[in-house]
Amino acid sequence: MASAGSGDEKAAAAAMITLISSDNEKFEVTEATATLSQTIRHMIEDGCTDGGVPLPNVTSKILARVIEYCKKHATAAAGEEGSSSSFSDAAFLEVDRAFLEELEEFDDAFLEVDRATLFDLILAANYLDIKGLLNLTCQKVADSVKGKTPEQIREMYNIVNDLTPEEEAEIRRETQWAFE
Amino acid sequence: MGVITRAQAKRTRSPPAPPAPPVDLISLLPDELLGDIITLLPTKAGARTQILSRRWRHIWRSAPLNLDARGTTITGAVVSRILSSHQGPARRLCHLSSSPGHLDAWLRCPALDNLEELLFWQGPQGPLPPPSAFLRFSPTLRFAEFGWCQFPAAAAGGFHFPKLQELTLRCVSISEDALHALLAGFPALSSLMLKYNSGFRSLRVSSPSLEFVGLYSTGCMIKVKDVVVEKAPCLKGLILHSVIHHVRVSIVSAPKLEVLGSINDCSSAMQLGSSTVSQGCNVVSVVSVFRTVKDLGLASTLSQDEIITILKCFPCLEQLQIEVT
Repeated sequence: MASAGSGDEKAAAAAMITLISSDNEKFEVTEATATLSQTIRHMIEDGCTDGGVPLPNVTSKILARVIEYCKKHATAAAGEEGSSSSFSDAAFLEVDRAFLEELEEFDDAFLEVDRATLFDLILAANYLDIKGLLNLTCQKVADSVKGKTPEQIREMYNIVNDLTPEEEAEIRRETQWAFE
Repeated sequence: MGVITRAQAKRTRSPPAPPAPPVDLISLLPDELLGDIITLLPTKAGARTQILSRRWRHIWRSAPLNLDARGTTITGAVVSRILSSHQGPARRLCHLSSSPGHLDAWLRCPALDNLEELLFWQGPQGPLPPPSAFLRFSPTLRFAEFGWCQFPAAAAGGFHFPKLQELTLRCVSISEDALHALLAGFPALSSLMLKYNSGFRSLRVSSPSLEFVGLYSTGCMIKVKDVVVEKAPCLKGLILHSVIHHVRVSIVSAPKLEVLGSINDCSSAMQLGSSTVSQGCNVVSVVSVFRTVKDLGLASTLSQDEIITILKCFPCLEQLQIEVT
């Protein structure tokens, strides 16, 4: 016969999830944090999280960063994750201004990583299906190439141009409007 | 002992780790993720990624299309060309001054399948109904702005966009019945912007999902006289911009309202809960209703007494803006 107190403790313990990185490091997180990942949410719904959730595609270094992101964003109202509008009116954002500003500052600092880490975060966000993190990291890459010429982009990301001059001419012809 | 060969000396002088050959990490991302990045680029920049290398050449064509012609040299003819060459699906189509013929043909293109964001302003040919082809996006559309068109009552009642979150109607001619029939077809709408529209005198807000409502008005032929918030459990902000004529704001139920803005002297019959503020009656019951309002905008033309009376209804204000006209 469990008392009310131990019942609560049991509920609290049940709400923790153990995530196991590819290098076998264990991370204990709340269910609210973990379920920002749709992949993990589905595992929880299917009851496959006993004994921890192995994440063979994510290293402990990246998983630690992903968890840091999820902890911060789990406090944001569910459903607001990743919904960014191109038409929304700035005046209305005033409502949650302070909160959004803080979140934005966090995101900016979060993205201060080297390129290899950024791509690893993109891959992890995709594998774990965390829409907000995927948008954030992809946007960082998109912003880095905005306003740059193809040559500048190649240089920046070490992309080797293996197109023949004929192929290049064909692309320019087909998509002339983009190069005007 | 202690003999250093020339080769060893060279090694000790050289940097501790020879620079690794530059690795093209970005091209190692799977197609789908490169596509996600391309979709976030402006339309022209996205298309230009085809010329980076063979790896990139075919990605733009199958990445979700982001076609935003606003502020670019992308003409109607170019939009047609893009839509005929892209495989779809599409994220966004934004085009201003679209001719009705063009627009209808575009909206039928397979490249626009599963469109999520749509913005178009019909040309100056006069207000026409939006092309019926846009109804095919009802399962996927999340953001929409329609400009310079009209919504006939008969058509508006048949719209159902279960995922639409944000809607802007700009310079649209729409009757009161048509407007309310239209809004009933958007069960997930969280933001509604009504900018310089004509044809309705009253706006009734009754929605389980709306968080923000903005009403911008000018000297249109038929002016908005009444804004009635009947039941809006999620409403956080109600903003009335440039309302230069008499408008009566009545709020029956909006328990989460935090921002109520740009209320000028002409809306002196602002009705909150069951009481009319300007008459100062039953203020106590109003106080309990508006404990959630943190930001309030008022016009300076209100008298001091009027301002004080109104402020009594908002005990938890954090910011008060008084507009100087």
